[in-house]
Amino acid sequence: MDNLISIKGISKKYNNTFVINDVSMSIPSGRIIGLLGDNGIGKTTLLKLLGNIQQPDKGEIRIGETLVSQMNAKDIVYLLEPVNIYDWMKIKDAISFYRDFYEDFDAQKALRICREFGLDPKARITRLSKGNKEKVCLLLAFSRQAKLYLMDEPFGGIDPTLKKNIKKFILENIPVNATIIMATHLIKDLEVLFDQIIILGAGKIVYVDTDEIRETRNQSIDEYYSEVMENAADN
Amino acid sequence: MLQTIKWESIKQFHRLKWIILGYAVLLLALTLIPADWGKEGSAASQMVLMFLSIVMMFGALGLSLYPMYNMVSDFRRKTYTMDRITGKSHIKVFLSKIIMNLAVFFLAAGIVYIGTILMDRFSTKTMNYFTYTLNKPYLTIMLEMVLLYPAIFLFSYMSASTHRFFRNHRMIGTLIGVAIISAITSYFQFSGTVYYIIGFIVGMILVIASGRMADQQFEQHIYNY
Amino acid sequence: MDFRTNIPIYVQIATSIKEQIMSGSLRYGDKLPSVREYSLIYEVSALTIQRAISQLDLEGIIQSKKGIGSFVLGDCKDNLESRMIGQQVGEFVEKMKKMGLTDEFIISKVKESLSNG
Repeated sequence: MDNLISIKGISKKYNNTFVINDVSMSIPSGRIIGLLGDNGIGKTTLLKLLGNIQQPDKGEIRIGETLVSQMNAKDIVYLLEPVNIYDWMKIKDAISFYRDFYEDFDAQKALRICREFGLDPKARITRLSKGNKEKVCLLLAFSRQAKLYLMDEPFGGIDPTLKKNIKKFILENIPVNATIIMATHLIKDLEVLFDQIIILGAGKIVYVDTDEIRETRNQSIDEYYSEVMENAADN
Repeated sequence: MLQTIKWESIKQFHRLKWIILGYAVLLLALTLIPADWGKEGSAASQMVLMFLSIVMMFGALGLSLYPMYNMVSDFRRKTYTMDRITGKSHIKVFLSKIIMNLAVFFLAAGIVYIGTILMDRFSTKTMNYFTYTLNKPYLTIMLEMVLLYPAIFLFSYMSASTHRFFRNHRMIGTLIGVAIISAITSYFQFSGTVYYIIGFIVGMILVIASGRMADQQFEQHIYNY
Repeated sequence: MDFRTNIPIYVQIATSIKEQIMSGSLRYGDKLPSVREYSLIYEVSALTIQRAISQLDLEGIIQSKKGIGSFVLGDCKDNLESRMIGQQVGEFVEKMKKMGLTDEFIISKVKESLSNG
């Protein structure tokens, strides 16, 4: 079990409140990890810190030996949201963009997935349905070969059939030994998918194996999460 | 670097295409309007010409301010994430933008020049429409519009955005920065070749310094999340 | 497959594969689907599948050959059957006892069920 990510003493403040407060942890490779917590900004912040979209106020994050801030996006894929894409871009423009900037990007694969999704590469992305926009973001992300995939609520506002297809799509396309960290509030739906979970509450972190919780406490992750959040509220 | 320039130019094209189209149509209209419109003395035609003059003026003004705005406009949009996660250095990005500024400058100069010639057809002894006089040589204007002023604006914005207090009040911070730098530079009076060389060097230094600040410390304002 | 969310998932998958062996859908010497194939079938992570396979390997029900795959060891079929059934009976008896039923009552009910076919 390799340690992929090493997080040491990171803190992040917004408007004088600690959104992340002195957090340290080591995350191994080859895991699908759910990032849970009731406050959206904490989860988003952690993902953005890991993706080098934001800098920690204190502490450091390394992937392997290298600081995240010095990695130039190699080995880290941050799943885009549809609003992040330029509104004049067609699907083939976005694919060209990725091909130009990411060495590990497979444009042929991206076009193939696009066809399999039933999407026309010449379609303007902003004109697609919400589900299809999400599919575009996913096909861009998973046509890259990376060690870490960061996803912020990828299943938001999507119908159940599509959710199932996306789950399968991710499992089909994740490289061997890659780690996925996925922020979500859909614990009941997705808990079976997660090897581990990170619970972020009041700036502090709980990081556990899902099957271990089930084995030692006979609880579902949903139940465990509710319990942890209640305890945090009481303190 | 080439990729950065490529995508920067595609992006600018999409951003400016309607304005360029509009002005092309305007210039075309100006060629088609008969020259006696101005000389005829009809109030309506004079008003139209006046109006078109004003449109030309705003265009020239807008396009001359655009290079400054161009340096920081991406930071204020959600599309910044798409660029940021590629990991490309901000110095490359800013240099690409300077190159695009040059292109926009020539475009604006072209529109103004052609517009002036076209509008000159309508002038009478009493009425002059869209004309311009330059109080500085072309090269100076080019240096200032394409590199120096945008660099000052960018550097102020970047300093404000990475400052603990001003990061939440970037516009004020930027204006303060611009004011400070303007005050400092007004002490120095250079002319001719010296001005060009120093202006170029100062501009490049500010751009590169901004690039490093951006790589190491820049984050979007919190309202962009 | 629908999983219970309060028991480890990898255990449930191991059980599911055991059931396939017991019912005969998987026979001695059969090669199991790859980790990735299983991960798509059960819609769980590769790691969970690996743990299930390791569990079965540990129990001697399959044999994992690195780089080649996992194979069913048929001679454990009977063993498997009696172990699984033993587990089910144990769970059943515990449930009944928790409800406060006596041993005699439980036995009589079982006999009743058996004679009804």
